[in-house]
Amino acid sequence: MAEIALTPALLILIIVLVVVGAFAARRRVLFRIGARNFIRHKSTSALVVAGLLIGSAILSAAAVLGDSVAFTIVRGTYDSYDLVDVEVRDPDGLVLNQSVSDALLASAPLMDLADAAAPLLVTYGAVDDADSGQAEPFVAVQGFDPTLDRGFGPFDPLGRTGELWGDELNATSVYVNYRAADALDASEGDRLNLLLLNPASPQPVFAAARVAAIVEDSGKGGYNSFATVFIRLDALQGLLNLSGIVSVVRFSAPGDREDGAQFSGPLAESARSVVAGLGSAGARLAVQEVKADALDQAQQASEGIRIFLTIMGSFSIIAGVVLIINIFTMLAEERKVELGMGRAMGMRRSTLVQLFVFEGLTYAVAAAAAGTLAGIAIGAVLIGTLNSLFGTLGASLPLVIEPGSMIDAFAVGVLLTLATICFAAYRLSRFNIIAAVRDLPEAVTERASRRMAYAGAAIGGLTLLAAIASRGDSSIMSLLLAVAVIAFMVPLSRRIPSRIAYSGGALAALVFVLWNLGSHSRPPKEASRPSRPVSSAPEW
Amino acid sequence: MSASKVGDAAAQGEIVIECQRVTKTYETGKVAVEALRGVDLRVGRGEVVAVMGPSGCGKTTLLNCLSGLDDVSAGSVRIEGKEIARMDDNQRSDFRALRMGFVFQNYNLMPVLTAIENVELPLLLTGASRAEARKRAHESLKIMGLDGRESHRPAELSGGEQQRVAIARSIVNAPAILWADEPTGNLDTQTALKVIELLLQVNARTGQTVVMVTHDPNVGRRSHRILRMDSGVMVAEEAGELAAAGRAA
Repeated sequence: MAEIALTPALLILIIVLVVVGAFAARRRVLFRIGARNFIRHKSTSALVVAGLLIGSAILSAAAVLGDSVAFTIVRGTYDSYDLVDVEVRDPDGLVLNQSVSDALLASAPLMDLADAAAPLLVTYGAVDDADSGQAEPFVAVQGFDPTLDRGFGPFDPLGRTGELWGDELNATSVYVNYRAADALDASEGDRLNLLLLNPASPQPVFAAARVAAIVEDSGKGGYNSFATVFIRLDALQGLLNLSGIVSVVRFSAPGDREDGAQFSGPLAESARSVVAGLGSAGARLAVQEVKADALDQAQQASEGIRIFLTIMGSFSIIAGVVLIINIFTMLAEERKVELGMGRAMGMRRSTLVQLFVFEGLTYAVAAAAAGTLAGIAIGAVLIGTLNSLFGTLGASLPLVIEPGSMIDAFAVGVLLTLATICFAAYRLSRFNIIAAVRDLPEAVTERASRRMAYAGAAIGGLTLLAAIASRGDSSIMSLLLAVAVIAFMVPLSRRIPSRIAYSGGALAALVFVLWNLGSHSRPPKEASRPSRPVSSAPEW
Repeated sequence: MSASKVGDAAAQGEIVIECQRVTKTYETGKVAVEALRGVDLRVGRGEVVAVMGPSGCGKTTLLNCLSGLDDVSAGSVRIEGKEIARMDDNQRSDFRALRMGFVFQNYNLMPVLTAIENVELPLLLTGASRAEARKRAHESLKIMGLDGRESHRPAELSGGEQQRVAIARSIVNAPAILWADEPTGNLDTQTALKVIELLLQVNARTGQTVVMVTHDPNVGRRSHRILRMDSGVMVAEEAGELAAAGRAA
């Protein structure tokens, strides 16, 4: 069963439900009225729920799309690195002496923290299949040590059972992964001609080899996500005339391919101390937690997409909020007479707010549940559309529905609706009792009351201070500024026509939100930790 | 006796409602309308007072100002010795819940609640236990002759029955004062008289003060005092049938 994290939204929702539940238990008659209104007016309730679900639907659709992208990146990260968690390499892409690799592998404290460690020599080149007649202009060629590499697991042969460890390879036999085999239309036993780039020389190297086996792209055969030819390390060193030279030393932290990243910190730290002890030989080397970095990037990408879609959808959410206020004004208008009677017989305003909140909670929960499901459907349609648009390019986004994200979207949807209902209920509770009892039209007062003006000024001041304090985070700052400017319009509406005040405030708020949107569309700052994209470009 | 002093004179015994020089002005745009123009009134405990007069004379406005549903523009209103204008909204709500009952022309029952649930609502709002509220609601409905109709919703009751439920609701918490604004306005003559007789029975049993606004002379005369209003002032006062009956007794 999937683990559900207790997010802040879910925690707040639980607290709110407990508080509302306690009030409902104390004032059961009010809860009964609210619940019966929901049940008895089925068509009205259905319309209200349909109107209220917009916010949840947008949040849930954004979560589905964000999770799908994150899943794709995360899956790509695991496929690309498999058991590899830490790499030691020259960040400028130059090769390193195998003595460095030997020193690292000889360090007992370091090896105590690693499940496996092995050097790798990597180059790139073009290859053609002499038997199929197909060529591939860009492949990675990896030279590995079958003995040391055993800790990283076997290759999975394509289309047959068993494991391949590389022991049967010689100087002229290679494995190719499915990506390469597919591009070359290669079969086992095919003759390959390789044109290899030489990191130590501008002259390329020609070589011939025979396909010993075709291996799966997943696991060890998927390392770096390229079409790849796997060859023995000593054979590649011999071909390139790079005896005693490797490109990278890879380490696997304890645990399987998904657990390894969380244990890679101490392993990397230990490797750094060994590298530091190598003097000038280790000066240019970088120790990277490659899998953890890539997973961080996946998380950032997912969050970025979610924020982008939520901001894009925020206009619809704002429209939804206005709709909720209108819907509750309509409901109150329908029940004006009975509410007025309630006030006449001694209901306090706060009691009326409770009455609305009890009824509103049933609407909010139903709307958030329906909205979350609608959001999943919208997300599925968006992903289907993206796949049909970009499917010809080989891109395919899976539909990923994370229960945690859906519960979060549901919780935020309920809270958003409930907060709006509370605001609407507070406003509606201030009706004129006599006008309500006699079902007369309410006198419209456009000017904010003095108390509202003070409250608006206080909220504006506090959010402005919060905005100044959060100037490091542009998205939070712009949202706080948007809230502040609208809050300041409340006292201002006592001085100038309220329509001008609120329209001007809304326009200014829109500018802040768009500014935030603009800042999110700029390229992100370079991560503080050195990292490498999942599919890195050739370094030579 | 000046017009504004008409209602001020005749109250007997303990005074529960007392207003002095009450004015109420509505501002409609730039036009100010004086609905009450210096009304004085004293009503004793257990009295049944009918306020009558032509449409727009200020009867309902007076009832709203006396009961604290509306603010007065000037003057003072004291109910059981407490100045209504000095109470904040919550205090006024609590005071209405504990010491007043209301009956309006349109019954104004909660449509989603049954008859008995409507009647017990004021008690539950003031913190009575569910069992106590149910017991007292049963008693109130019985007084109103509505045994067996407890579980009916308002839509399943006739107009007269709905008004009786509304009266049962208004008396369930044994208020000191019952305010009735055109309580028989939507009922036929026979039903109206039955409803008024029930109100008077309640008054006789519990000694509640009843102030009712009505157009119907048949209803108005079933009171101790009839106050006649015109253009925002009390213009006449006469004894009702109950006063005559009391003197005869």
